[in-house]
Amino acid sequence: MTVRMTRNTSRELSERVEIDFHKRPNRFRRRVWWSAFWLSVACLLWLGYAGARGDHFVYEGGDLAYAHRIFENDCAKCHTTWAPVERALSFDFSDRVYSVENAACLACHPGAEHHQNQIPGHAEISCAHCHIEHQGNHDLKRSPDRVCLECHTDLKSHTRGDGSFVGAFSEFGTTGGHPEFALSRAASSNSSSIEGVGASHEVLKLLEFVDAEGWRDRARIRFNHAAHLKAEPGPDGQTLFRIVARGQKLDGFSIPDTAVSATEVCQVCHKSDAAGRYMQPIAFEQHCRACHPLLFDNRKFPGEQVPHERADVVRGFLTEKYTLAALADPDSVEDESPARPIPGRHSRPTLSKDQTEWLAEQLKTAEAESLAHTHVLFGAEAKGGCAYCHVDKDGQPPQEWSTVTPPAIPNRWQPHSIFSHKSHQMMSCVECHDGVAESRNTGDVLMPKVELCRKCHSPEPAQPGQDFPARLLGAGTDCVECHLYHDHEKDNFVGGLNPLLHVTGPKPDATSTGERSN
Amino acid sequence: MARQYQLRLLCVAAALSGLAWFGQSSRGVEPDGPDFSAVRIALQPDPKPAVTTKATVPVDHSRYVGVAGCAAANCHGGDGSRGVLGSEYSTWIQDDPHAKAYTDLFNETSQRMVVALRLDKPAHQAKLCLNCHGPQSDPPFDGPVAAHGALLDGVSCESCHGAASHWLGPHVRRDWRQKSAAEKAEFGFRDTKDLWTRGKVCADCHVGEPGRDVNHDLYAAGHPRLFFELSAFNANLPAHWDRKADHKREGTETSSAFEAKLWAVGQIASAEAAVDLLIHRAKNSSDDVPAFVRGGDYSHEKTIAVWPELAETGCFACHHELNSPSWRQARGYAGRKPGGSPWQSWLTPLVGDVAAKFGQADSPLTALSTEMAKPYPDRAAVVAAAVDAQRKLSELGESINGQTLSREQVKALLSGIAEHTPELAARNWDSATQSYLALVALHQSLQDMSGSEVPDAKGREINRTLEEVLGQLAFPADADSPRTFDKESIQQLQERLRAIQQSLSNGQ
Repeated sequence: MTVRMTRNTSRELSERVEIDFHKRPNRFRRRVWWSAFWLSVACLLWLGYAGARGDHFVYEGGDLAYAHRIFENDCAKCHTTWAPVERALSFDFSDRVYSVENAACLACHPGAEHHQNQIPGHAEISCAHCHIEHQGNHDLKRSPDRVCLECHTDLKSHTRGDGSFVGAFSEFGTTGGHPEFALSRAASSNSSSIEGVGASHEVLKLLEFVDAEGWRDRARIRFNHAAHLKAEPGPDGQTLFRIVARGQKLDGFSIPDTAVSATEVCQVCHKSDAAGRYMQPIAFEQHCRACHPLLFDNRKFPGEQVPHERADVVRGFLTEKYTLAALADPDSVEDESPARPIPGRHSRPTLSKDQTEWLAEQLKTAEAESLAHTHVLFGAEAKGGCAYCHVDKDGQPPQEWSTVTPPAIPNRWQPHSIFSHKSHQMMSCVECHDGVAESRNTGDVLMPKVELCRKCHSPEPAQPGQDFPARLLGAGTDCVECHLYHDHEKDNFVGGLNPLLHVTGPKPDATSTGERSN
Repeated sequence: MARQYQLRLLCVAAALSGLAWFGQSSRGVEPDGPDFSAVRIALQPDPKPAVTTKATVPVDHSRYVGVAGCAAANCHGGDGSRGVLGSEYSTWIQDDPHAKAYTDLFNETSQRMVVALRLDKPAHQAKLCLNCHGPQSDPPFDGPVAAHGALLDGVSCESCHGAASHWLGPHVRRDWRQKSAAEKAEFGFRDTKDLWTRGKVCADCHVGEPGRDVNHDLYAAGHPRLFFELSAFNANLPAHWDRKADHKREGTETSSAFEAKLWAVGQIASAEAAVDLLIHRAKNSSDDVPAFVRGGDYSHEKTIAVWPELAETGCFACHHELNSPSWRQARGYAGRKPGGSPWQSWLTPLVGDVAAKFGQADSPLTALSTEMAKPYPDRAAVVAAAVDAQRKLSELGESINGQTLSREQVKALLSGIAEHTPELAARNWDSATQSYLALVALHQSLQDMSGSEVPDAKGREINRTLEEVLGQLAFPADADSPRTFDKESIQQLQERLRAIQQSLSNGQ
């Protein structure tokens, strides 16, 4: 085998490639370049054409939220600047500069200062920082936690309040994140102050500190849950309840005759509002009168009841009753003498017939002045009737009607938050409001602790083998899940505050603007 | 190279779309919209029952539940007239003075008494007062009193019928009516249909018992006198029960010895309670704490036992005018040394008469009364006599309670007492008044057994005379004592009582 050995010089080797190869125009690359160029020109032309035609959708990042769709064809209603240019001009490349100025938002939402207690310098934050538009039909109120926590991890340096609220916490779901509810902090506190609660905190309108008993609610009414509920064991180890006065027909619903589940028994009295959010207030006429009639003198006025009204109204009612009765039958006002008088006990003189007639005449001529006298002479007071449920301002049995304090039963226990009972309807009432069936004192605050919420509302819910069954997803833990904010007091949807909308015709009711936030 | 870019682009696009989808799904939920995590919870069985059943309370520890447990409109809080079945609570709350027992602790007299007795708390919190005026507290007197809502009820359903924690449920069941009194008692229920039980329940407060001791200190501070006579109190109490049923149990609806038996049982039950309290006072006092030098205060909320206890005697034995010469001294002190005072002159004068008609020849109280009439009774001797007397009284009371009285028995009882009354009237106002009440009750009973609703001429005559006696015994309008009960008055009274006796014996 012969091997042919070839020796090539570098010149010979270089001659293998034509010397102007790279300088010669490449047809393929040129076509690619030109294609890209003409495509770009075509795009620009198209954008220009679309713009010229007034079609702006091509510029948008996404659809507007429903609430703002009315502005969809008029970008300039909101966009008065353009962030990239603005940033370049102001040399501020932070995310504090947005393409929408706050003034545009405030034109319709005039009350919305970030928070009434914020330090003025911190007001410069842009609305758009938290309320992110062009996300499709996204609820603009549901701001991400990160923007809330920008301030709420350190409220002291962001607010000028009285320290009413706990100043630093992280995510709700994590232990040590959201603080214990003020109500529950009070319940477990032995001192007359609640940690992290300042003088203007709403909880102080609901609770008061009683020396012997600790924190009690200010409802000023005597009600005993335990006396109205009778627990009995049901099938499957369930506890069923009877309402003590069963079979009664109340206004619009009736008390079940049989023992029923906790949830059913609670709902006999505690009905939610139309939206299923909160429980409607308990009303005497609706919930109490059927079993606790306000009879006042069954002998003279069998079956008749006094109105559940202020003391002066009741007095007026009774005066009329007794005056008319005395005038109609003067004999009837005489004291009933005992069946068997005991010497030494029943020797007080009673009114004579003449005196009775004189008295009736007095009542007739001076009805207005005789209110109290009628009351005393005929023993018309409803003997402890009011004191059965009502107390005076110190929580003691009232000595006279005028000292009865109107009860202040709160409609909302946690006014800094929103809640929906309907969203929790798959749970039993007593899972959260534990101890109701054993509660004998109205002062007991029977609200759940944050711990209980966290069992579901957590990024890491309880796992199998613990108290709760297996669960893969936790319920929401966003701040806005429970909290609203901004001071809406200045909202006015009936005044001329919405020039952009040019509202004509019937105007929406101001009261339907929803929750007051904190 | 181009492929690598494409790949990266693809990855970025995928990541972006993933993020967008995630963001959409986590943010886009309406506040009230369905929460699937919660549905998951609902679908899975809950390993823990929602509420644990309460541990059962031991049966021997009955607790008060308060009138709230009785007062529902379709239980005992109906709006029928007085005494109608189902309106027991309504009758009580409207007309029964017991309903005011607790609120009376807020009145002026109570506040004055608190100062006088040097109590360290207001009357409505002092055990001394609450023992009778607020007998219902649950649990009894531990913790702040204001927390016990049942106190406010005063003397209510459970004060007499027994703490209801164990019988409230059972008593609405059909089989409750079939149970005997003893079976009901196991649930803590007191059968007040039984007259002996009724008398003792009333006497617990209205006469007193150990722990419920209205002594001379309380009287001096302003407490009204305990003034108990079962049949009259029973007649005057706004009945929340069926009086006809009461009568029926002691005969028939038209012929019933109820009034006579109730009176007789009441006499014995009251005396028995008085003796019981006397034993307690004798045993718990000491010679170191002489009467009149009490010096104690009630701030420690325990009744102070002193010897001799002045409340054991009749009020008007000492509290009367001090005229000289005195008609009392002229009259003399039958069987007593001057200076000694009649023991329980209100509760005991007719006990001997009752005993005599029911088989005990000697009055169960003879020995005890003799000892107690001494100016300074010997405590040991008193206890010995009292224990014996108590046994005899209990036997007598139960014996009377066990029989249905015949017309003859009632007649014999009435004529025996009528014969005795002129002598009793001369002793003191207490004896005279008890005699009057006895005559009223027994005469009423005889009328009940006569078969006629309207009294005959003789009955009307007696009723008229009894009314005159009542007028004579009444306190004058400006006094709270029998100031006008003197020699002449007694003579008139005796004439009237003799007339009644004549009238009764004529008919036999």
